[in-house]
Amino acid sequence: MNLVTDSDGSLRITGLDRLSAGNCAEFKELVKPRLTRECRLVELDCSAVRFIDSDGMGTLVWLHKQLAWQDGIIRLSQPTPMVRQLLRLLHFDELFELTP
Amino acid sequence: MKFEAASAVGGEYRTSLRLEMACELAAVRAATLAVRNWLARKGLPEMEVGGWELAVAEASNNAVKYADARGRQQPVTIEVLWGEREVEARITDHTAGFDWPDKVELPDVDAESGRGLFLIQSLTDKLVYLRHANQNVLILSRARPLGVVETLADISQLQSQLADTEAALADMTAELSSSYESLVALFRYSSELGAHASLRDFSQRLLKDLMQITEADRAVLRLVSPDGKKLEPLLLLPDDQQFPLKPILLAGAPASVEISAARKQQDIWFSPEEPLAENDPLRRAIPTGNGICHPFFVANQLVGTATLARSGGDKPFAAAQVNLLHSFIDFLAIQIVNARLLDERTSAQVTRRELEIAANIQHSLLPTKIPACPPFEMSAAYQSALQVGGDFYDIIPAGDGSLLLVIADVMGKGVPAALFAAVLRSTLRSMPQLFNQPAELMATANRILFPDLTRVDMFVTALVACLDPHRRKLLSANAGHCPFLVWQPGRAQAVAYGESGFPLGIEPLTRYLQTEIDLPPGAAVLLYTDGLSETRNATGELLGEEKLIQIFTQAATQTSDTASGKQLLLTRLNDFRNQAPMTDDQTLVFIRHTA
Repeated sequence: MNLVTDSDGSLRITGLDRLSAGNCAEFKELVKPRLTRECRLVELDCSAVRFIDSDGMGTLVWLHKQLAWQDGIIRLSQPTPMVRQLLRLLHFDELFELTP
Repeated sequence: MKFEAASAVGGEYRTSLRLEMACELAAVRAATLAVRNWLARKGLPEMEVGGWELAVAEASNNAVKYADARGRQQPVTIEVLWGEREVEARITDHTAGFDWPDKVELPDVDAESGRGLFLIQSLTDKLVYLRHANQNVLILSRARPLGVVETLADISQLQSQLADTEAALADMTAELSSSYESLVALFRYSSELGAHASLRDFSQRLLKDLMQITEADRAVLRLVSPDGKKLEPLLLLPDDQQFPLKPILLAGAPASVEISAARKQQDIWFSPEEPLAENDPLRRAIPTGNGICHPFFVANQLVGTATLARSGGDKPFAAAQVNLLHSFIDFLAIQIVNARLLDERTSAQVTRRELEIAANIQHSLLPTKIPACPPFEMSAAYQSALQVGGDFYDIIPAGDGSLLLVIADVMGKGVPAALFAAVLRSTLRSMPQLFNQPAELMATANRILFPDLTRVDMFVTALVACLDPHRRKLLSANAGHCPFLVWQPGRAQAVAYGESGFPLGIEPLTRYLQTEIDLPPGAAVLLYTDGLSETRNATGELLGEEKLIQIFTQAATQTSDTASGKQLLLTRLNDFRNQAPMTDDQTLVFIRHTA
């Protein structure tokens, strides 16, 4: 997983292949220090994400709440059909910004 | 991780995958990947494979997260069965288990957890959760998309499959028949409810049938005591055993499996490997064997516990038998609660009827007409409090133109008090020769009534007075009753008279003092019961004798006839009470020398 912080504080996460009960604690540990006060956008590249479970979805909610304090948003880009279907099932397509 | 694939496992399913993974989150990923790859190799479409991967992951995560230290020592088992028309997964965990909700709903969108069960339910067609003693099995199934059919090797395999299907059908028919019998039994119990002499008989019948159906040879039924503090034994079957069980405190007995089940609100199993504790009271009835203790509730209130056991052998109860236990006992719980409610209602009706009878007796004792006794004039009042007490008064003409006045208060309430008032009234009326000797009359009445009053531990306070219109005097004797008040013209305040002796029913041979008072023209007398002097207002303040004397003095000085005097007195008492409810009967007799 790669994390890149832009000059405006935005965070881009790439290379994530799964987000599940087994790795969400590690994900939070890596991401939390990058959520600076300037950060208004976290873009998660979902093109390589093959698997998300309910703990993984809970982690996205956690991320959303971290950013909501500073009016930031989460953008999930290029989700696979499986991930997209799951987001729709849990009504998360209304909570996050999805880009094709 | 152990991995095993098999084929022709029987029934509808032809091939299966069985995995045993360590009970830790890190192992879930490898296990679910194995499931994914196995299903993909079977030709299941990618979206279906992904759905199964997620459903199995959610179930496995729960199996790990909710296992206690002991449960974590045991592997989580995942089995996947590839059927003709559907895929089935079975996840066996070693957690305490939980009640699968009737309807699984999504939590709020900003909740960080609580979506696992919703996902499992959404991703499968059918779901069964079976709770057992040391393990629980979650069975998930979902139809396979059309077109995913394996090629059958040969005709013999097809025949074998047909035979398996027929065997499965026969099993299902047997199970259906058993369920039907259970249903019929419950309906039969419903119709037989009124035919049994007691709830115990009914419970015994039901429990015996349950033992037979579930192949149990011991059963213990305990119910929560009326004060809610104990579990009291109701039944121990078979009933040829001695009854060695005693009540157990719900707040104590940590070794009792029945108390544990009641507190945890879940079934507790025991077996030769995990026997009852040495000091468990249940051990006196079930020393060894397999068993299950089921606590039962109605409207979240504990009603009791039912324990079924097989004292010989080590065969535990099957899931279907446990379901039967739940159905029968939960049905019994409702009948128990209904029977208790009916008892309470009947008891309340009996009490209400008893009070009506007492009130009727009470009113029948009061004089319907006050006899004339010139130059004296009289008014009386009787006000009943909410509960019928034992007050009464009587005015009886003597042959010589005088009157015997009686005012009394029988200790206690309800029918017994009303009956003793009736007996006292008859006793006094039977001795007209003593009407002009109140002290002797009272002593004789006491001797007559003493044995009956003592037997029921009751007593009566009474004042009897002979109003002599010729000598214009009042002769009285007092047995533990309130004094009477006398106002005489020219006096600033009324005075209390009537030295008191023992109430009736205390000492068999007691004697009473006789008081003689002159009643000159204009004089007023008040005989009363303690309901007047003990009137309380809303703040709890007591009226007391001094204030009553003041009120009576006002009534005596501000009115000329006894009806007005009585009314003024009652109005003042009501004013003092100020809407507070009456706590005792109030009885008074107002007398005035009108000449």
